[in-house]
Amino acid sequence: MNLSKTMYPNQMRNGKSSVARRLHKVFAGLAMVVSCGFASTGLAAEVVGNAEAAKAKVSMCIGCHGIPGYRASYPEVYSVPKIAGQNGAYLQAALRAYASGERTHPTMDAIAKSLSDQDIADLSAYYSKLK
Amino acid sequence: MKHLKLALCGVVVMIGSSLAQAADLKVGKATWEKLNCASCHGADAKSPIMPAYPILAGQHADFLAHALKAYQRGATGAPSSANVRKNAVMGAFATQMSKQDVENVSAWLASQPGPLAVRK
Repeated sequence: MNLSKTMYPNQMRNGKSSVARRLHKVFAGLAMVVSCGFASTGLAAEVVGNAEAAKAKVSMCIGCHGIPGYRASYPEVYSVPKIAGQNGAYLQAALRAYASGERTHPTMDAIAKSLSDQDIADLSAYYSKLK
Repeated sequence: MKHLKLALCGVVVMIGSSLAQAADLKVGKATWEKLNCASCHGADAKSPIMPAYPILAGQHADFLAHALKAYQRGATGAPSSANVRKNAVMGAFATQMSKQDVENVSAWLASQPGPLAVRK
């Protein structure tokens, strides 16, 4: 709504001309249409995970996450997390965080960066359903 | 006799320090409640308010402790080579926690029933 103040100061001061009001409405409408457009393309572009397709991709995961008692050692010694049965959306967020550097771990960084959006969606679907 | 006394003292000290180190589930639950973790992760630690948040119940205690320490490192400017997690919300909570808080909460969470597994 700052739009009216910045774009039509004179008209506003003179008591809100109808032209300014109409333009204001047009801009507001345009903004809504544009933002809805972005929202829907965002949804359309969302990748749907295929748990079945992940079976050909889990070999890089099971060497650590599939071994009971497997531990990592830096900077503290800890068991690698149980990921079977974890929330799929969280697994996706974790892999993206490794890829972006928000979360760091040498092995997971390298693996996450090698994964496509489809790979991430497939693996997350697979592990969230594996219980 | 002197030796016996010394040995006894040693045993007492050892028991004392191991008690101080050991995670306390009751205190862990109290810390979980004090920090209001349930407001995001769910009262049972397996029903988070958003699916993008993790299920914690039944996760390995040492992994949970590692994650909290990684949030502490991430919030205090440790280099990314130090295995960090940068997250405004979790960083703010983790930096309020002492080493003992981290151990207690992690142990309590690990003791809770949940759907997580290594594999089946």
